[in-house]
Amino acid sequence: MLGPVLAGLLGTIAPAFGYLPAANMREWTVAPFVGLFRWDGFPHAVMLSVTTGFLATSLSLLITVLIIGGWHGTQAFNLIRRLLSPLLSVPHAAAAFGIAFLITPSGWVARAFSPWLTGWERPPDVLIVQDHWGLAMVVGLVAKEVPFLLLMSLAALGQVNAKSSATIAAALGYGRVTGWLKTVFPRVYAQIRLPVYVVLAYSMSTVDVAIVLGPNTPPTLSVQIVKWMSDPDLAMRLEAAAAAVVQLLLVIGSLILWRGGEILVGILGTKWVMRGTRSFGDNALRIVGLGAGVLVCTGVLLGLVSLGVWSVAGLWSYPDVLPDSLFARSWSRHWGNIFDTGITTLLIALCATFIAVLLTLGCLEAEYRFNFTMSERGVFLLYLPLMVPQTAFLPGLQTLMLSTGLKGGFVPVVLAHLVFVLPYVFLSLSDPFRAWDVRFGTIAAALGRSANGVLWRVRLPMLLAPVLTAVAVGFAASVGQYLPTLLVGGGRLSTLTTEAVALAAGGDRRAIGVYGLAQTVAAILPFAAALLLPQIIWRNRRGLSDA
Amino acid sequence: MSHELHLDIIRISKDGRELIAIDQTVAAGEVLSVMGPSGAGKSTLLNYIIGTLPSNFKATGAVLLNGANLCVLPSNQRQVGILFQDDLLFPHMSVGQNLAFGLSEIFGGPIGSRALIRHLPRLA
Repeated sequence: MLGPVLAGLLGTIAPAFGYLPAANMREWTVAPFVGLFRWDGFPHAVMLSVTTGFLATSLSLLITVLIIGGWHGTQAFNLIRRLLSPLLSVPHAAAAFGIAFLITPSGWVARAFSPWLTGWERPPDVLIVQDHWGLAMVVGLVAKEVPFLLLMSLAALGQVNAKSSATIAAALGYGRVTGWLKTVFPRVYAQIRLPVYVVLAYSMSTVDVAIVLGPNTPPTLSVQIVKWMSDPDLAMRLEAAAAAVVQLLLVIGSLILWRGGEILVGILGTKWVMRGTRSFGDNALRIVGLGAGVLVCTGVLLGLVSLGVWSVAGLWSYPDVLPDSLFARSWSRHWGNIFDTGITTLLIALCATFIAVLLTLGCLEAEYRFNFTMSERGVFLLYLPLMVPQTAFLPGLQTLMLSTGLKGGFVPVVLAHLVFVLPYVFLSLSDPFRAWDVRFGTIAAALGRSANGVLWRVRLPMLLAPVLTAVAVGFAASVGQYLPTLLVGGGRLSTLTTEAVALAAGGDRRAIGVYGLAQTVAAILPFAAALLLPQIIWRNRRGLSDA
Repeated sequence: MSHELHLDIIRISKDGRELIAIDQTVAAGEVLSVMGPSGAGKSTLLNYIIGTLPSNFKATGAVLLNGANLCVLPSNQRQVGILFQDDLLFPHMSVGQNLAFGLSEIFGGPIGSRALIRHLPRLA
């Protein structure tokens, strides 16, 4: 894990200081940085990265906390749990497009309220999507990050014995949310700290969501980096590298700042706990939490639906809520390309996920046989590719692969995807794998099975559902990747995601609807399989069919 | 060669405190009962005989089955079975497959459920 990231970083830092042998530039200078600072959009791009990152992360964390604190243990919560996996599997780009379709002045929300409430006969000339301050981008980021943080928190809750603490707090007279915040949240946060850092780093450095929902001139720093990298003038690559270094420093600085914030909140929180306030506007907070949660869910789901409607829409004038006619011509027009790029997408995902699952199983089984567990440092290294901005090390990785003779193409892209798929597969599979009752292994061994026999004939079959879920998670992660395919593929490989994001610049909503939906289906199908297959295979096995 | 299980001066301790001290012989056809309150170390003794003693325990002494020292063998070669307190049937296998899992050694290879059911009366 460390290898590719370090190699990539080195490959980016060197050009930042003027060293790019491929373009015959071999002097070490700081000229690229000077050029970067002279760019007009630089201060705004930096500010955008920082503010959108902090805003999106804080909002997501706040909503997550309010949802769990206010509703843990209730029926509503179980419903949320079931929705989480499907919501998470929607790729970032598709979710961003869906939300864009909802909130633009000519989007569904505006149409639903026009003209009877707003009096608009034509869409108002208000820049909501791609607004200057990146607020639409924050909305798009929060919509995907709340499910992610919720999922991580739920896993942490299981290990933290939340129920007893909540009961004790209630018995002492604490309101639901306040009690949870004071007794359980600090322990949960300790476990979700790394995912929160991932969210912060991603929010600051995302490219695909920024292209769809973020401002255009000037764009966020990451988008500008990609623009410079694709510039025919090779000298621009140096500026791109310099900007990538700045991006990396910004992320590191923000992580440190957030850590400082954690300590501050810890100090203030302890004082608050000592004061013993029983209730802190609990009922209002519960409603806000539920409202926000519902908003996030419906936002993503409605966004997907609007993608679907646009993909089959005939004539659809403003302010009608539904199109005048439906036809399938958009689908038939794009079907050929969707089929080809879809096959490519699925093949890449299949290979990357397969390798990732093999590596994960190997590591986890080794833990079991040689009696050790992964250290905290190991977990940190696992998360590392998710925390370092992709723009900061992918170009370097591409250069490295080129120099070892791997030209742009299938294998490098699969390897690049592997770097980002492996952490998610490991996170998804490690808890169920370790939670397996080892007495089954003891019995199997006592009956004469070798260690390999135990793994293949007992452990893995019993873990079919978690393994399939991990495969689905890996698949979704690979399908949603944008930069790795774009940069490492050398422009030769198109996936559903690269095609979809490329359409963002144009205004063809029907095409966007078609590609966005296709991308989502590619990511969701494995989850459906992960849910259905165990039910089918274990239909005659009482012990596993209700898993 | 005598047919017996000999627990030869077994001493198991944890954190410097001795948990189990046992020196017994169990002849073929006999039953040895080990009784004690929770935490006394009964399961630990069974773990030691099976070969799955956790690494934070220290143990000395040998387990001799028909004269052979089991302690140098891995769990799957000791020819010692274990029955836990919870029923730990393999949930992904049918009843027939569960039985076949343990019996296939006797038949020299994998056997189907039907063949197994035919042979069952002979094994009783």
